[in-house]
Amino acid sequence: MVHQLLLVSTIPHSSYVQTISTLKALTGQLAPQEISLYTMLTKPHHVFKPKFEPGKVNQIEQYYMKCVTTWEPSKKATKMDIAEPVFPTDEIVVDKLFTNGYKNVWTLQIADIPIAGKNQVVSARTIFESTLVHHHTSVDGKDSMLQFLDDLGYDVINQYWVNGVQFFYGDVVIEILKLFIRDDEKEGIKLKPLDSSNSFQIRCYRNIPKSTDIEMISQGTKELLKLQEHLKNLFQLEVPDRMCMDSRVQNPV
Amino acid sequence: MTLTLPDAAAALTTRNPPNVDFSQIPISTLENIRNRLNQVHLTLRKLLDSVNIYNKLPNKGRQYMVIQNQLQVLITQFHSLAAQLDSNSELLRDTNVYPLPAFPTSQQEGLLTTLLRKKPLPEVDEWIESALTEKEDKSNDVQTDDLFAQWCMMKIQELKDEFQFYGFHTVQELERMETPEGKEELRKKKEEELQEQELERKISSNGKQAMHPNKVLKFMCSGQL
Repeated sequence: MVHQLLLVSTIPHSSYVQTISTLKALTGQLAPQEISLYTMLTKPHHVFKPKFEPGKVNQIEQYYMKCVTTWEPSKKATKMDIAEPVFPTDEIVVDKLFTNGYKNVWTLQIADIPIAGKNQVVSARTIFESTLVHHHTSVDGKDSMLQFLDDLGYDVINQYWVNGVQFFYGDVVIEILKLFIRDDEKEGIKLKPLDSSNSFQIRCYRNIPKSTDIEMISQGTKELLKLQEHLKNLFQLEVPDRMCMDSRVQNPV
Repeated sequence: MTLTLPDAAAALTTRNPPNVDFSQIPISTLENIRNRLNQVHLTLRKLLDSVNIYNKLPNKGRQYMVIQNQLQVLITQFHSLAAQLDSNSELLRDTNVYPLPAFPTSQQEGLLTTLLRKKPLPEVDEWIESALTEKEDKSNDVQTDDLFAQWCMMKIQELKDEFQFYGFHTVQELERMETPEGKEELRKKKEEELQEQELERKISSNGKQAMHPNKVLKFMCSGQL
């Protein structure tokens, strides 16, 4: 379980070089760390509706679950460089992740809705995570990972690929990334950017091991605010909308 | 004229006052001057201390301010002392000082000669002299400095009047812009700018705004846009 404090922003493609240079100077990190993550979004396939009983906890929610692992652009394709803009004619191809005998480390993640409140200076939410090492095999023509999720009671509803870079500023992680979604099926899996404006998404977050550690949380909040102040001329870090981060499953009543 | 005694000697003599007439001694004035001198003395010592500290630790930033403040205090004190001496100049000039018979002349000869001294010490004379000559030189310098500054101001104004400032280009640049090569350059520059804009537009798919982080987060959380 981690408690995550988060601020978000976005920059157009043209500010990329300036932003990277500034962050290099700010963090002293000459080579930012690359991130390429693949996420499967899953949703529980059974509606869980406990009988309403007075005196018991009745607010029971079901949540979407993310299954995250790393990915690489297909070896055939040229190396992907996020500093380059992506045009509709460009082909980004990834290899199939689920091939027989392939070992993947998956992170299963369920996130609570961020804390409510009017004067929130940063978004704060609790994330529950578990790690799973999976050897992919084929079960009745179906991938074993999908079978596993099925057995767990989840359906895959969507997927996305993330590519970007990471900086570390003290305990704060600054990510500059692009999201890709599946384009259509050909040989391999073709991707296209989710946001065709070629803009980058920025996420600055700090993870705190315990949501009860008030001191750490307020310190982390201060760190993020300091960063927000530092970078305000480069990009404006904002508190994301809480409702947009609601990963509860809306069950029909 | 009247007889007056410096207070140190007075202290020695009061033990045995042989019908001395104190009424004519300007005690209050003398006391006043003595106080002022004491103050000056104290301030001078403080100033000396600060200067010494400054010499030892020249990097101690605020020391300079302290010295200046103390100098200011000293100057004020000198001013009031000078005024005090000036207003009593007649009295001080016409007063003769001599010891009373009870003063232990032979034992305190050194003190007595110091107390009765009317002329400054030779070294004091020396620095007064040097200070005066220096002041004359300096005042000349200040005057020439002022004149020079005035001349500079005038010259700058004159030079400024010769120019007229419009826009962001020099006359050479403007003239170059009028020539065919200059026009060509300008055209190229504009083209480059346009190309850049075009590229920018292409990159952002016809100038699309970035997707708001909230929208992206919503997608990341629930798989829907």
